[in-house]
Amino acid sequence: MDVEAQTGLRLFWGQKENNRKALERQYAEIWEQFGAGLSRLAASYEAQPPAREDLLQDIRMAIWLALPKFRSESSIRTFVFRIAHNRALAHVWKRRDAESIDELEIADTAGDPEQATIAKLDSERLQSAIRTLPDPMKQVITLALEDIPYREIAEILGTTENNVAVRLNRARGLLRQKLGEMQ
Amino acid sequence: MSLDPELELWQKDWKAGADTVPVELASVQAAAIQQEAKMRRGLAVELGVGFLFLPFSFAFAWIDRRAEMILWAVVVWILTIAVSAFTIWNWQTLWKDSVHSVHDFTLLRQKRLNASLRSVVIGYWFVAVNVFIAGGWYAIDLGLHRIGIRRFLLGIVLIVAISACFVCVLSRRKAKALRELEQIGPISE
Repeated sequence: MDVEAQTGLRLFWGQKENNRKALERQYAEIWEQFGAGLSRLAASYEAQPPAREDLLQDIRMAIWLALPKFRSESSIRTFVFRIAHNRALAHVWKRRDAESIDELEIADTAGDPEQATIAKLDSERLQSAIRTLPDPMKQVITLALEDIPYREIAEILGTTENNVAVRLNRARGLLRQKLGEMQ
Repeated sequence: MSLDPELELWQKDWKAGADTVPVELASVQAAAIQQEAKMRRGLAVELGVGFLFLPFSFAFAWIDRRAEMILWAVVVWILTIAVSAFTIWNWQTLWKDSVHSVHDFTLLRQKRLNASLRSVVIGYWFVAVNVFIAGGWYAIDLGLHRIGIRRFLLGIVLIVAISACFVCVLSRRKAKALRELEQIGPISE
């Protein structure tokens, strides 16, 4: 092989290596920025920790596999939450029975209950109530609770801002009712 | 987004529930490879069952050499390849859909499941036509004393065994698709 070809090959592999490193960096940033939000999202679909971890792993993989195709046509947050909600739906659709959908009790208080703070209990109560909502309501309320603007929620869900507002209103009513039932 | 007190309170409770788990990229990459390998294995099994028909039909046509036997073998090959092509296409597009909006993803999934159900119907027809052709010929051959009863029974057992494999795979696919379609339910705008 001549020198020119060798240089070309080195440049090609160098470029590939740089792209891979850039992707890995971007992936780490995504988890730093949205990791907590994605954990909450998984908790809104799955009550039991093993199923939740399965879903989270599915989301992690899907984001990693889709990341090379991200073209900045939308924000990275829209991209990430679209994938996460889609994987969560696919996960729920494939579940054979609805074993953990309808439970209203607070799931997973692993550890000493005495040490659980009131904030944590309130948070788990809210998560449990959200889990019982129908998927379209669940999606809109969890995105709103992540402080995502209507326009971006509409982009993630593939609907209009008006529809987001209507759905959010209904979701809030339902959530209020569920939280009332739990008291 | 401007929040009212109720939403603000919920948001506070919601965010208190965050348990950030550090992500190890290596484990995600390994899981992705594992998942892909698992899907490949599933695909290989499905294709394997489909391709069970090919050597048999080829062998029958090779031994018999009658025009109708060759025609039957050609039909088997075309249908098996068509069903396999659909399986591969379905598998390849499975992960790509996740980047769409939730509404589009749901629609795509529904379309794909309906396509899967259609492929199951085609599959049932494929099995029925094959059983009818092969069984019919064996019966005619037996009636005309071209083959003995032992060869006739062996042929029928083979046809039933292969058809049963196909029906099992198709029924599983149908049940899976119907279950998922039921879970998806009606799509709202």
